[in-house]
Amino acid sequence: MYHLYSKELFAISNSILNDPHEAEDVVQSAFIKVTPYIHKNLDVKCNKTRGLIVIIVKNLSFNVYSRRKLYNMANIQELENVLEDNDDFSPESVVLRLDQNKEIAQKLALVKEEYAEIMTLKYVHELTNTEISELLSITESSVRSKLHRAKKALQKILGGVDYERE
Amino acid sequence: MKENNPNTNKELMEIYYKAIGEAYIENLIGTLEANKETYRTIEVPESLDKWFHEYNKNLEKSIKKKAFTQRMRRRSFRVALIVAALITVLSVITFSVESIRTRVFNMFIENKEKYTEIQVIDEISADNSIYVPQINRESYCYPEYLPKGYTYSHLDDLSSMLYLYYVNDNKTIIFAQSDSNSSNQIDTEGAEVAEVDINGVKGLLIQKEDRVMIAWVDFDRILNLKGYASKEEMLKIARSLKKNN
Repeated sequence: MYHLYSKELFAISNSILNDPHEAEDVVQSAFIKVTPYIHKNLDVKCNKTRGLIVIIVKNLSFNVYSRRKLYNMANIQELENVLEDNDDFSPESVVLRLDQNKEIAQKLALVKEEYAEIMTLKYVHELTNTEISELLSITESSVRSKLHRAKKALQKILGGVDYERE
Repeated sequence: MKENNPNTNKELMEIYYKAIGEAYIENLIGTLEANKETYRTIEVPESLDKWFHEYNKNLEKSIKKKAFTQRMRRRSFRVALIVAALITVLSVITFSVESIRTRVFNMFIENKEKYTEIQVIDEISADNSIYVPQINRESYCYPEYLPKGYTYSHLDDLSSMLYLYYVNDNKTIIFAQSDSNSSNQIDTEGAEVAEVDINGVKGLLIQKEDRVMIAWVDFDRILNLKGYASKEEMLKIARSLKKNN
C-alpha cells in the first residue's frame, strides 16, 4: 500500500501543510493508524482502501495546519444558508434521487469536506465513533457532533423536513 | 409527511448515507486519478522510505511472533488436554486394581557373602494368644510351645529389641523380636541356610553345627529364634508364636 500511494499521500499532505517534514510525519502517522484496519483479505488497490488512507492523511494534515496557525473554519451556518430550503422530504424522494448521489456527495463536500469524509468513514468503512476518533485524532464527542452536522447538511441539500429523529 | 416505521426509516437513511459516502469516494478517486501524472513526478523523501522499510520489518516480526504465540497456546492447550485425559485414564485403572489397594506382606531377602539381611517390606495382622508372659509392653509375641524341659527364664527389653530367654539346664533358647522398621544382620557364614514355612510366612532356617536359628517376619516385626534344640523343635516353637493383643 505504501508503494502504491506514498507519492500521492505525501503530495496531498504537503499541499495542505507546505512543509515536507511535517507532511512526512503526517504520512507516517497515517500508515501507523490505518495498519490495524488493513487485513489480509483486503485489496489494497481497491478504491475503498485508497479513499480511507487519503481521508486520514487529509484530516491529519488539517489538524496539524489548524494547530500551527489560527485556521478559521468557514462558518457552517453561512454555507448552509446558501442551500435552498425544500419542504418536500421523504424516503421516497431519497430513493428517487439515488442517481444524483455523486452530485449530492459533491455538494456535501463543498459545504464542508469533513462532512462527506465522516459520512464515508461511518457508513462505508463501518467504523465506530471510537475508531473514527482514533484515526482522525479528534475526540469522540467531536465525531458525534460532526456526524450530526453532516446529516443536517445532507438533509438541507436534499431539502425538506428534518426526517430522521435523533 | 407520511408516517412510517422509525426503525425502517433509520435503516433507509443509513443505506443512503452509505451511498453518499461511496459517491464521495468515487469523486475523491476521480480527483486523485486526474492528478496522477503530477503525483508521479513527486519525490518522496528518502527518510520516509527508510522509515517505512523499518516499520514494515518490525510489523512483520510482531505478526510472526503473535502467530507463533497463538500456535504455541493452541498446542499447549491440546497437550494439556491429552495429559489430563491420560492421567484420568491411568487413575481409573490404578484404583480399580485390588492388589494395589490391599497391603500385601512381603519379605525382601538379600543374601550377602557373610550375612543375610532381613528387612520387612510390608505388614500383616496377628491373632490373640492364650499364654501371656507378663511383659510391660503394649504388644509383643511369645511362643506357646516349648520343648520338654524348657521354661521361661527372663527377658531383656531394649525398647527396639525384646529378648525372651527359655532355659533347660545349661541350654538356652533366645527368642528376639524387633520393630519391622529395623534390619537385622544374621551370621550365615559357613552355615546351612534353608527356606522354611512358618504359618504361611516364608522364613530362613540357618544351621551352623548344632546351633539352629530361624528368622522370619510376622506380627509387624522381625522375629529371631536361636538355640541348641533340633530343627524340628525350633520350627515347632516358631510356629506356636502368638501375640498378646
